[in-house]
Amino acid sequence: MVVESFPNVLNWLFSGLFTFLALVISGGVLGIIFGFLVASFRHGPIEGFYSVAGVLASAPGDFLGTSYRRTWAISRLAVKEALRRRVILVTFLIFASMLLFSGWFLTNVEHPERVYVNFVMFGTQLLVLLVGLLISAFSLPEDIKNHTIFTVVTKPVRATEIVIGRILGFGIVVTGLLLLMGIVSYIFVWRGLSHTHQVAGDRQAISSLSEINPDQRLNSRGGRVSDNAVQWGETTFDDGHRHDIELIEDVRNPSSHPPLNSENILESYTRADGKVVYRRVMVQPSSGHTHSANVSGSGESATIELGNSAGYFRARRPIYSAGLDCFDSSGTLGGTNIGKEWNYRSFIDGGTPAVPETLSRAEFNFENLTRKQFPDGESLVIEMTPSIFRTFVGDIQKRVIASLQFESIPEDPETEPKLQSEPMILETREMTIQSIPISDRMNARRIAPDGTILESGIYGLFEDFAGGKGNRLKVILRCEDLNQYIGVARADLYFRGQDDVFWWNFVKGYLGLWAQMMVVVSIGVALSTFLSTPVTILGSLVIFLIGFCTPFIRKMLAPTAEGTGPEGGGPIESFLRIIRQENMVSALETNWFNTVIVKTDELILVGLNSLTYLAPSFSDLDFSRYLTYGYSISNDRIMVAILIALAFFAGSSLIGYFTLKTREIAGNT
Amino acid sequence: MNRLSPFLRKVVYLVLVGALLIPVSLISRPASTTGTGVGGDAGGVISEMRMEYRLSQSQLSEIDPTSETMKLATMGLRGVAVNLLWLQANEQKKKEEWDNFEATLNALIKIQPNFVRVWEFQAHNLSYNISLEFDDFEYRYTWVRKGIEFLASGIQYNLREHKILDGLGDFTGMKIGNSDEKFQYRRMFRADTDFQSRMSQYIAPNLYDTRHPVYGHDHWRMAYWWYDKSQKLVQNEGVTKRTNDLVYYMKKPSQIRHQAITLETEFRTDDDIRDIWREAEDKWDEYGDQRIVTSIGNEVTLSGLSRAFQDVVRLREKLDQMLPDVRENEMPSIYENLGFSAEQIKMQRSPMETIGEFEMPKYRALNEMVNFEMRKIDQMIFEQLPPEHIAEARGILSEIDALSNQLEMTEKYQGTANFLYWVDRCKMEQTEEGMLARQAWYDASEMRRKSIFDDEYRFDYSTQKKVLTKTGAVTSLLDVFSRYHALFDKYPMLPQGDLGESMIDTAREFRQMTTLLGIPWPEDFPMQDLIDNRAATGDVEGLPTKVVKENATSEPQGEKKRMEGEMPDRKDPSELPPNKKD
Repeated sequence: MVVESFPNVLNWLFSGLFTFLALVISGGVLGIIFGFLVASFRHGPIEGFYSVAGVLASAPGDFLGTSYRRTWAISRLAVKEALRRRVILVTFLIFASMLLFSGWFLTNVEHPERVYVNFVMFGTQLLVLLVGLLISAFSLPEDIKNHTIFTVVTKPVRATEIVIGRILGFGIVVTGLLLLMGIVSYIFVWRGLSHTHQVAGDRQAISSLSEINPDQRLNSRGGRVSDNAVQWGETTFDDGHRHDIELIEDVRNPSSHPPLNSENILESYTRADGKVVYRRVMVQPSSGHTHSANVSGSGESATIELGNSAGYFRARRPIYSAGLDCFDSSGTLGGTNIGKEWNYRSFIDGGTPAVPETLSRAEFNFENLTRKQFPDGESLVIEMTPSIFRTFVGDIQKRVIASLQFESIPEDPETEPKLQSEPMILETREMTIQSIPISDRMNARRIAPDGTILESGIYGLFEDFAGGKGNRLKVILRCEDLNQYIGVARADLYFRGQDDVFWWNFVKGYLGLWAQMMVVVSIGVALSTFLSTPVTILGSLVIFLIGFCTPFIRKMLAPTAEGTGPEGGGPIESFLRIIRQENMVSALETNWFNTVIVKTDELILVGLNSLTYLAPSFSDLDFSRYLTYGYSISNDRIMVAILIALAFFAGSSLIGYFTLKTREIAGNT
Repeated sequence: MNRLSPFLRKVVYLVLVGALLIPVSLISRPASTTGTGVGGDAGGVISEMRMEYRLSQSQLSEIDPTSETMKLATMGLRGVAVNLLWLQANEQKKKEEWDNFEATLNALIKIQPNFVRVWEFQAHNLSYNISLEFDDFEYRYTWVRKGIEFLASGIQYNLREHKILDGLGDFTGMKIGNSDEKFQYRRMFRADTDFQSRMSQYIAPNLYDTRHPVYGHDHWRMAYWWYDKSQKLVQNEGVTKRTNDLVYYMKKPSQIRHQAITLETEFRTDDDIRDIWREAEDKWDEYGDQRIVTSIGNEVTLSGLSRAFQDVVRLREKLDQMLPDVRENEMPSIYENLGFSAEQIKMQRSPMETIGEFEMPKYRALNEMVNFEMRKIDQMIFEQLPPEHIAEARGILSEIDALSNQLEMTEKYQGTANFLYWVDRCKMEQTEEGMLARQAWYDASEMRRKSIFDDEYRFDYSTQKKVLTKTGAVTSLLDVFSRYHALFDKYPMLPQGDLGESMIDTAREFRQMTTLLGIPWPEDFPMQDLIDNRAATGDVEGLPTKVVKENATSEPQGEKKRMEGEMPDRKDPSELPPNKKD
């Protein structure tokens, strides 16, 4: 899975706090100026000044004097009002009907779990945001229009309580809806993906499997088989896929523990060399899941029964490195550019026939790596999702070879020796999550800074390699095939920690939706304090659009490599280039007309950039990718999402309060 | 305005709305079919126009509810949605989010299902571009298949469009059969019964059969059926063909010989493969008889060259009978004006069947020059004719003109399709000699693959002679070259096509092996003529041509003897160079 940012909540908070305060202050100043202008227009400058000053002076009192009881009363009112409108019921019915018929369109795909989760997340997001928008936009303007607001404002209620109470009330309603939809979605996904298969062939027995030709190591469909497979078969084609079934020979030392899952063992015997062979029936993963196999009986007539789908619902907890350094063949930092448009991954080469000794490598620097992060400290798993680039086809049946090496990171590399493990050779597997089991103890040597080998032996990964200050460890990936390249990004190699519980990860995914919903409700209520319903809806929609397109807008505004503003210029310059049929990179002629255009564009771009702060980037609050790819959503991301929601809640409450205050209706309170 | 006027206005509006609904419903009424597909209603004017211009599903039974719902859901912003989805697809392709890319394509195609180019472009994207992004050939095959399935799903939206079917033929045939991974792809295709059964539903479940009893399922056969379906659509259902005849009709028969050629490289040729060649010849003959509309608008058949040629000769004889001796008297001066030598005159007057491959271009050029002059003589005869023959002669001249154009276009088209080459090739491959040559070639390739280049012997001490135990790749290839040399003499068109190219490539491999073994290039190398001829026009880099050979230095005697099957002279140990160790 592509991960482009690794937020840490404290770093995020402190780096964004300044921007947030700057925005609040500048927004406040602009608000005061605007308020003064409006008041001056209505009452004259002196009266206007006093009016604005009065509002500002009463603000601290209003905020500090906000009563939880009265706010809660307003919230309850908002809840009742929302329920009375039956929007919630209608929305839930729409969602239920969507789920009822969606089964028709969600079948026959390669990764059904991704489609299912995407579908429910997107459906929920769409409906919840729509409901949040509608109920928040309709409420206040309708009350003001029908004068029902007087029943509230004539009571001793502060404007802060009206705004905060409404936001909280609508928040509660939509949270309830979200909760309901979340539960239904979870059941829907779980039920929808649940299935089983039968063994293809006339009999559900071992005799349905065929022998594998030991020379070719291919199954009857021309695909590869596992290294230790001796027979191959397949399941029936159900739900748009089928699985390979293999009879494998699991060879273990007599002292080793027998396989934990004994239900799939057909037979076991002791070989001449004393090792114990377990012949087991394994169902190979397909479409992101597998099935358990239950073998009963013995010999050719032993029957195989396949269990329910398993493995769809994962929440891997990756322990990412703190940084990645890639080096090219000459050892220069930066990796090799293989000409891809997308620079997410850096590529390392495997040398050339002329210069096979390459210095190209990818170094993943881990920090704070301790044994307690892993479920079983003895058998660890590194997972890898590399990208492969072949400069020539070579033997297409063979995968590109890579090696992994572990190194300790001494505090002072100039004076202290380092531990270096033997390289671990492995076949790369692209476009899939490749699990590499590693031991916590490995053969290694201690090397002095001048390259002298001081000693060699078996060392512990946590105690010796990562035992120093900061528990740091370096994992080095190399490409071992001449003329071939391996591409990696920071998120492409990680230690797999203790998995998260899926349902909790699901809840975290919905917390992202909740944060989005709270932002929508807050903005809706704030806008509804001074705009009519249609304009509020329109205004909120514009803000959503900006929120959804924030990455796109920022990308458009990003300066070129030369730092000369966006490619092709701002909107006016781009428009002129289009009608003049000019390319985007040639420099504009220097004349007064073009100068005016460029300067105007600069102003527009500043305005556009400011617009992106009107709404949060909704992509930062959308965690559906983590659920669909089976990764745990980190607590930092959740905290960031909640903080964003809180920030918008606070900002919207302020705006709502002041605008309500300046309206006559609020003035009476 | 009185108080009733607003009410009256509303009534008038309602009446007008009701009245307008009548023509609107008449114009826009959709077409419908009966369950059997026979009869039904052609619908309103718009529906008829849709049907005429093939704009979209014009019959209710053809409408896909998902697609229509999505189109409606965009609320008139279909263009915007399409643009956004294209941008999204490009971004996902850039970021290698293949699952999402596929999902975006599925959404995109639902809102513009009738744009054939979109289906073709994105299917090509899947099969050709994205499949190559994967390192694992199994994934590559999966994505090639995804592209084919994607394109096949476009059929239901474009029932009267042959380009999708042609694309399916191209992808199924060429992509699977001509890739670097063709061996793996073909192997996987053979076992991919799920895919085959899905495709058979699109093609014709009852007719469709890609399975050979010995060699199993073959993608070339599936491609053949796609082209067959396309041609049936054009020929039987009156669908407008949007590609030129020559290439369009060539694709279907070509698949059978592609199958035969591929099987020959994968297996040792046998009678089953000869049968496929026989079928390939039959299909190619059918192609030869197919009427093809040329770029200048006349119709030709590729097998009709000699018939047209004979017709011209016959017509000229008829003209000559009206005014004898004129042509015969003029011919010497024509040859003289053209500067023909006696040899050239002899060649030009020879029947075409007797001309060898290397002389064919020269023969055609001579005939073109003479034909141009002949037409002048035709005109000369016409001008000297007595009045009673004028009318008949005018008709003959006009026929000669038409036939000359036909001859010219037929020759051109034959050249483009390499028609005569494939006629000869199909015939040759069915012969016993052809099969034995091909088997020898396969055996030699296997020897080379196993790195057994040189012959293996044992020494018989009783006779003091070497006894051959295993023939190596070098000797086997020499046998292959000799066999094909004989076949080239018999079928003069053969060196012109890919067989000639393959011979050159194999000669290069032969050269590499001989160089490695220190064996000199054979004096009487059977394919030397082919190499020397190609040297003037083609690429024979790395192979000795006549000039190079003449300049070559003398060969080592020992190597020559080795080639002749004799033991090299044993040297006296005292003559051996001193051991470095000593």
